[in-house]
Amino acid sequence: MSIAVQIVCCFLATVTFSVLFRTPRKSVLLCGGIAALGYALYLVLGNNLWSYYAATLLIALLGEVCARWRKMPAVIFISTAVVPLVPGTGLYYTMLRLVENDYAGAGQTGAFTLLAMGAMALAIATNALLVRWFFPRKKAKNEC
Amino acid sequence: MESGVTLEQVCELCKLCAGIMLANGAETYRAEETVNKLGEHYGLDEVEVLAIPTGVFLTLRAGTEQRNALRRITRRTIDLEKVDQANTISRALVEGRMELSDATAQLKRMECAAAPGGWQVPVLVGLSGGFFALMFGGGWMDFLLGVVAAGVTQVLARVFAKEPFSTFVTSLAGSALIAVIAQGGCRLTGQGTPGTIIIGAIMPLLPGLAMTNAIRDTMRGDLVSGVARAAEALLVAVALAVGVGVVLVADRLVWGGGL
Repeated sequence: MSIAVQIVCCFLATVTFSVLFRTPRKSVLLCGGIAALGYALYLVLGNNLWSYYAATLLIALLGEVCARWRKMPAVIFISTAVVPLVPGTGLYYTMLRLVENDYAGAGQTGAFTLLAMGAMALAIATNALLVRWFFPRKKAKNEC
Repeated sequence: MESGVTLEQVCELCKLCAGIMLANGAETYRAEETVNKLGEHYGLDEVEVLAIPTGVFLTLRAGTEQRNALRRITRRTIDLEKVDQANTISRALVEGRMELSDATAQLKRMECAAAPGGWQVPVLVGLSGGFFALMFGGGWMDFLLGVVAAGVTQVLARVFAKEPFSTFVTSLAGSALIAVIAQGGCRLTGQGTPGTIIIGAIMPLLPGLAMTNAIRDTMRGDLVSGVARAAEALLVAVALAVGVGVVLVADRLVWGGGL
């Protein structure tokens, strides 16, 4: 299956999925677009931890840009757009290997899945750090 | 303290606003920041707020007058529409475009508003399950079965929504149902790949957001929130895996695997 078809499916999946998170209507297409771009980067870089990191960071940064543009919380864009990237495949194959009594394989897949989640979280944290640097918050008056 | 506004009113407003945000999937720091901003706007002398996924604690002081408040959050869902609305309201308040009483009334109405039911959720989430299956390299049969599996799971989630332990039960029963539909459908029609269908249909149920937020909260130093979210995410992930696993084991026992 070609990459283009996968990216289009990613867009459609995110847009239809957004109803479950009750993503505001006016941001649904943007979320789909961000998700598709992020997934495209992931596909180009291949299935490794760096690709999870880079793709999530791209999604988070684009989400941050859209948040400022549409004056909505960034979490709306990021949490919806990041869904296609969550390693559900890893969870399934870990379970499958366990069922097949292949504990070594299950450990390997499971560890990679956890690390992929960690890479995604690290990307979100990096994004938060970048936002703090470039848009410093003004200090509250009771803060030292 | 701004004139014409009592501390009681500000306290009620902060409690509502932070509560709605936390209960509907906003980050804990956003709920805390919102309360801080509102407190600053109304000229309070001291604002202390601690938000965790299961509740929010407030201490507000203006001069010698002090209010403490606690809001318990028992039901957590993801409803970004409400997060957006609460955010818009707090923004309008801070910019002076809205009266406090209007804001409180709107937030109260929002808190009681039930998520709209109807056919949209099962149908659209079903479609997303199908598209996810295609995204993972499935064929048209995988798409069809993915739509059915993900859609039926949402109907199931609706049935269990009001029960206690609804998150856990929905994840466990939902993923088992997905596996049954995927395996059964493929055996009946002789087409499709169950793995792709299961992964596609399970995507909408995955606790990806909770897991990511958990690690991020821990990194920020919000340790209690981080651990609480991680526990929730882990519980759902284990329930999903066990649900699928039970069906796969049963399938192996009855048909001896293959597919």
